[in-house]
Amino acid sequence: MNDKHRAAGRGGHGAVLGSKKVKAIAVRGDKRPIIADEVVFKETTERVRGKIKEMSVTSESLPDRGTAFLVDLINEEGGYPTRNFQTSVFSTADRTSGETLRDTLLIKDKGCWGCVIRCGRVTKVPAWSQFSGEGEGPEYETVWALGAQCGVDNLEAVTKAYYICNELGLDGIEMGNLIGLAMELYEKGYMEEEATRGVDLKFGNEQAIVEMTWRTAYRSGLGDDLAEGGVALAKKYKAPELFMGVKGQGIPAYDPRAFQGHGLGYATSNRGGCHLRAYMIAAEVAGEVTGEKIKLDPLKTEGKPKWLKIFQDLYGACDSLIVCKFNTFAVGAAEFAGLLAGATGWRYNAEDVMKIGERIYNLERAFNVREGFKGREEDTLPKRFLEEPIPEGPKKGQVLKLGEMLDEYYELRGWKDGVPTKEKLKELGLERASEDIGV
Amino acid sequence: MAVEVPQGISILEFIREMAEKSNTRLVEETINREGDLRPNIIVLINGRNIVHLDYLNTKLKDRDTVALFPPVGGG
Repeated sequence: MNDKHRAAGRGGHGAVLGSKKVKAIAVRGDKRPIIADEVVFKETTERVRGKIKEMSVTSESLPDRGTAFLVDLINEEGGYPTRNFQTSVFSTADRTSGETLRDTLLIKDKGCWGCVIRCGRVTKVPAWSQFSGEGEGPEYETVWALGAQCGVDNLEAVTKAYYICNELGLDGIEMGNLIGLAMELYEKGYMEEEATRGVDLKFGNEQAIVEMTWRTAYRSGLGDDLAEGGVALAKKYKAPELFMGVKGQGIPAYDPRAFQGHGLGYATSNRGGCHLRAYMIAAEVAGEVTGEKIKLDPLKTEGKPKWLKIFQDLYGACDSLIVCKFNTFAVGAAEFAGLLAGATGWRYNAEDVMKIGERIYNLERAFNVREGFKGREEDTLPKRFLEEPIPEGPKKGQVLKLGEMLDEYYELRGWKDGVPTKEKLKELGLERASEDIGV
Repeated sequence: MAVEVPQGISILEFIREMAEKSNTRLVEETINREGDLRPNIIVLINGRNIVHLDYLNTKLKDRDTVALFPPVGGG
């Protein structure tokens, strides 16, 4: 956890630190870093600020309603996963929307240090509610995970479960994904009543999401099973196909069948089910990418592999710069290069930044290969998305057409069946990785 | 909310009619002076962005669902 309510989240590295008995890392400083070229740095900063003001997502939607502004939009697009991705429209989604949050539980907005977008939500569930508490959020992903994913539309309950996640260091997305999975296992009879220890694990039960969060943190009762993760949970209850995850990590708040490019991103993400290695939704729904109005058709597969590589590379560089991805609605590699060059005095242009991102993505992939990643067979999605069409709503009938995109993606990446080739690694100056993985 | 409009009306005409009926600044907030959609507005018809349909000329049919983002008119 960072700054109490933010998380360097997902993937389990918090658990790794915990296993090494690292409770906290405290940092304190009061000196301004030396900026190599103050003029370039300041000019680029001003340009970034201007573009942030120009784009609607960063100047209106996020500041006004926080990330949960996406609830209504994604639901209207027919891609809002509901009840463990059994369908993609949630009839009462507006009860947990960014608007509703703003109008009921919001105390004030908040920005991470130095941020002008200020998408953070300081919130409070009042004392008279059974779900009383205070903290920050919930965000879009957690509104979804603890909400629609579990069939729950009680914003106070969703918020309370989210507060508990933050206090106890649980990833909200995974927590909700797993509770939804447990609900489907229970409703379909894979999980017997005794296993739930009296929790009515039906979709829509708002008490269940709060209780299961506590139980998972303390490995109590059924929580002990959830704490093992989705693959183990689904396997234990004899329905491995019901865990909606990729490479062992739960898929987040966008149905891949509804957004072809975003779905390809899930399948090829180096860290499994993740919407942030490549937020294709920016192009396929929001229509604002690096300061331009770019609107890709979410139903089409053409051109998506090319765009996905761009997103993955840009985001790799963005993460490495420790810059918030929300900037990428408004600016891109050129501005990042300007800031980096200005701050460090090193020569960087946009192409250099994208190359850094490509190196990062390939190095991560090589690491995975070294640690046993099997390539193409793991760059996939649960059968539900490849074979079961969305049953209702605007995207009714859609499946993810992974087969139409994956080969082209590998070709663009210079990979063979999901594994970087010797030539590609050499081209990127990653010969050591090449040796490490034996290509 | 359900609204009755003539069959085959375009989305642009629909927005104008809605503005008239509800007495709001809906048109000003969504359409600029050149008659184009304001850059920050998303219009979905049955979940499809009009950018992928016939833009402001897209004709509405019976039972179509129209959604405007960001929520305009203080709604």
